[in-house]
Amino acid sequence: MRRTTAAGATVLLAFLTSACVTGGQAPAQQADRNAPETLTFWSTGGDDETAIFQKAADLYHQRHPNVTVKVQTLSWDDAYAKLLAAATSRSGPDVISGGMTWTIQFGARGAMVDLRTRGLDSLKAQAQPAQWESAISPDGSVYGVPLDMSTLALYYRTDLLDQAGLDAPPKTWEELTAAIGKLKEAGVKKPYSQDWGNLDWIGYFNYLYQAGGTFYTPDCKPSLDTPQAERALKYWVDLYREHGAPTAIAEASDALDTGTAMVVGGNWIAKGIDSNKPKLKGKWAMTTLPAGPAGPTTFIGGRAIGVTSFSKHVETGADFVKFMYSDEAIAAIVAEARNRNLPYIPPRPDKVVDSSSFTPEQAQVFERAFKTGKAAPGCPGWDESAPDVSKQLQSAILGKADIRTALSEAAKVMERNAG
Amino acid sequence: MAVAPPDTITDAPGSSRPGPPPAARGRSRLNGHLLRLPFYLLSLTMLVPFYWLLITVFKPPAELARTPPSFVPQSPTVANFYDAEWSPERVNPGHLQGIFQRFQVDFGFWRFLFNSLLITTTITVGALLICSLAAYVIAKHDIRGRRVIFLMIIASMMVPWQTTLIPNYIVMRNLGWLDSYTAYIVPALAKAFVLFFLVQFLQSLPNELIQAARVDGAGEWRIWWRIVLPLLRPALAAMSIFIVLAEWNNFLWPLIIVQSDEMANLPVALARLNSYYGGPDHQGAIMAGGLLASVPTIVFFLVFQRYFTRGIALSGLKG
Amino acid sequence: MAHPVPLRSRLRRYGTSYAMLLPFLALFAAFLIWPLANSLYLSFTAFDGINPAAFIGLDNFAQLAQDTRFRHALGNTAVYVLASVLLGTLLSLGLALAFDGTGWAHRIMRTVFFLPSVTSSIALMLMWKWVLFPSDVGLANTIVSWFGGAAVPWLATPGLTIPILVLMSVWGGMGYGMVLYVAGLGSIPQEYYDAAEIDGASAWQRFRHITLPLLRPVTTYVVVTGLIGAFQVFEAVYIVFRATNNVGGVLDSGLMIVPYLYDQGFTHFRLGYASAIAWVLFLVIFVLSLVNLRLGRATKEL
Repeated sequence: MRRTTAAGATVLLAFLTSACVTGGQAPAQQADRNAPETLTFWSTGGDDETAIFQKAADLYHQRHPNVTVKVQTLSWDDAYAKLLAAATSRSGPDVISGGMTWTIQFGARGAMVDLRTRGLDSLKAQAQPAQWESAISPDGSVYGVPLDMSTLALYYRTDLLDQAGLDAPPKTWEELTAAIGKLKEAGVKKPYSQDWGNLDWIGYFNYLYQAGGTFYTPDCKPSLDTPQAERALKYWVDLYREHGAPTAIAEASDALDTGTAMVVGGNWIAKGIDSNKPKLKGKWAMTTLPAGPAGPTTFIGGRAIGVTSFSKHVETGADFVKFMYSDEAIAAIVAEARNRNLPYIPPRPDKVVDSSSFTPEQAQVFERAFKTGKAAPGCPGWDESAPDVSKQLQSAILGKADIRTALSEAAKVMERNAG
Repeated sequence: MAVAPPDTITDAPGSSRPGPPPAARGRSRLNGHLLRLPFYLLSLTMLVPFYWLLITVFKPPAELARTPPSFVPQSPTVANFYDAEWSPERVNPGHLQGIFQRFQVDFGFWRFLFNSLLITTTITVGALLICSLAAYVIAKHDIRGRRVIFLMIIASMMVPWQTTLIPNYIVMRNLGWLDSYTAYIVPALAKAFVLFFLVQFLQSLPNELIQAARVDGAGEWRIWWRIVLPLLRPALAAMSIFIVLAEWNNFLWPLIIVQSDEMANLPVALARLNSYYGGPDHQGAIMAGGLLASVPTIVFFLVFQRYFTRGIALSGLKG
Repeated sequence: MAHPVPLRSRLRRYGTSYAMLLPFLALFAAFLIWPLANSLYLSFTAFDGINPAAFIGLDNFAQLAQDTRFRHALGNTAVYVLASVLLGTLLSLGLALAFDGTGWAHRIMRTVFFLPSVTSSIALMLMWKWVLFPSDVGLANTIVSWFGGAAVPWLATPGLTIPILVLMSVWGGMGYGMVLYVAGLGSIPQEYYDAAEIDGASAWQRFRHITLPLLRPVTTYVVVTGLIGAFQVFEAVYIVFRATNNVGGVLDSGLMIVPYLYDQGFTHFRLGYASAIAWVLFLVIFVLSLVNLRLGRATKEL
């Protein structure tokens, strides 16, 4: 009995002392301008991409010998968690990059510098308007600016389309479903699949905007209860359920290689097909996504880059971000991306065709997509809602919920997270 | 229940067990190979995935993306470890980075191998020293409060460590320990199950040696170092195997405390690699990494094999 | 230690004793007892990691009861735990009975089944992900195609998620249970069987009335440690099934307690809420552990 009491007392004591968890830390101090500075830049993506951004960092070091920028990789899987942890602990990197709207969420927690205070709103003139809008907080704060652009394209096997008597890729929703039917009749087992955006909100994004819908109203109220949203989801679900689009995510170039006639994939796919799938040489082509009733709007992705509020080098960090928009920085990144056969599209629309790491023909397809494209909604709570919204879309695709229920459930989640 | 040390997994017949060879024993074993047949078949399902892993490591990227896949590498290569023909300076179709060319940290893959080895070794040695000290006191010293302490330690074995995940993370953060070896090592040193096991083992040993040493005037620290530790050797060996395997495979804690590239351990580094390179052509390098990550534990197992099964058996069946 | 010892030297010796206990106790208190109490405290608070934790009483637990994702995670975990422990234990016992000999064939078989236990677990996870690759290049789909089937989207079919996780767990764990059972079998005296045989007991009767009862401690251990391990599953879900920013796989079909804890704690930074989840996990495992008689007996011995 006595030992139980003693053990109990110890636990109780520990419980009481534990009630004092400390939270915030002292704010960072500004360093002397000419002292040697080392900045850490956490870059979301792959190690190869870190290497191409490091080239720009090295160039920055040449221009400012007292500043060294060290680029580190965060993988997409855990980047958001890592950055959020850094944001809440007020420790970690000076410069970060991540999903387009992430800096908004971290900024709302006070972890990002409003770049307007460093004059970086001037970059707006150079950026793609929809993408810029997506990175800006609802209150107008600029916690991050676009770092690069990405989009989707329809890749197709010219030989298989010929076989089905199709002389051009589908340009509209109707043509797409018709083409799938024709390909099936011609004995093509895998007429259509989706890589980027499969079973995910990014996939739905295209159909939603092509049908004239949006995720949020301009004042950030969820707007998935519209006929447009319903129509878009109906069409998308039918692609899976009626027209046999697979739910498994096969990398687009693999899909083409293994006999899929048309694949929706990210722009980066164009980079690797010829070098990694030599068999496909001359048998594939690409175009913009088929347009819906309201037009051809395509998702514009990419990363945003920003400076953390707890950095000791805010001034330099902001200058580095600005530097990433300069012609010389873009040239350095593109040169390295070409060496490594990596995708890179600068965040400046005027540079897409002549200064991306793609061929001019490929870049022209992307440029067309960028002209009418839209980017992720920069509304409060969107990044937290996105996985749950995807889940609701999945339940419609997999036949676990009807379209209307799925959309209203998704809207509820968005409403709740809007705070 | 007292347990005779079992034969180890690949031990020679009759090496450790007295009595008639089991083949002669008339227990209710499944008679004949017919009854064993399903289990022999089951062993195929064990081997096939491993075989798949092995052949993947030695296939070049183009062969990995081929359908149907080859079951004997058509052009075996070690390029998935290191591809001399790959270069960051120019595109070379059909060539990807080997695992040793993959990471943008100094020393690349070696760094993670080093991290994992360093962390695992330090924790194992540290935990065994600290736990054996405490176990010696609890088992052989008649001090006040030892029952309470032991009871609490036993009770704590029922705590899933994930319950302490968030507070420990906050402690690491507030101490500024995130992203350091300290955060890997220090919280992992006090292992309740190791202490529990060592106490049980010591209690089963007679006191004479210790008493004799005391009579000779040896201090307690000296007794611990010169008498208790040698006596504990089999138990320490068994425990070291548990600790090594657990720490080598530790994933969730490193995932949370690691911030910079270079502080990752092998599981975190490989998970990161895998999350970015999803295509089949990259699987060769990824599997090569997995294979390399398994070599130390397999070697460790082969060396300590005898203690291994004994340790499993002792920990499982005592009391 | 009944010899009377002079007080001073006793004090000295006890001082040493406490000094020897100190490293363990200090670490134990700092990284186990304190965090445990702290996590209990946090489970009654709303805590975002920045602002001080705000006490909100039982709100987190009330919200958990309403949380459909959490209920889904609990349901998934229950199915996963039951299936993997039941299958794992049965197969472990079967394997031990089949391969408990000392002949080379049995030794090879034991090694084969034990191999996953000494292979790096990340290697196994990555291997499974590659085996289950969605297109025709994967091993699983190649085998399916031999039987004329079309490629199966293994990791994107919600109904297959838990079965795959169970398969991975049983595949990786049955060799370990087998070794325990082999040890248990080795400790059953041969005389029991001899006597039973003289009495004319059939093989099944001998198994039923000698082997099984005498293996009970092993079975208890295999089942209890299996349950505890299964409740804590994380890596398999995280590595094999997760998609970007979505920890539980398609439709949360692989969402379980610890992955959900990670999701709430580290991708949403709802640290109070995640602590409440941690305590639910704790209570579940605590109850299971009480079943483990081993611990009860150990305290009595002292």
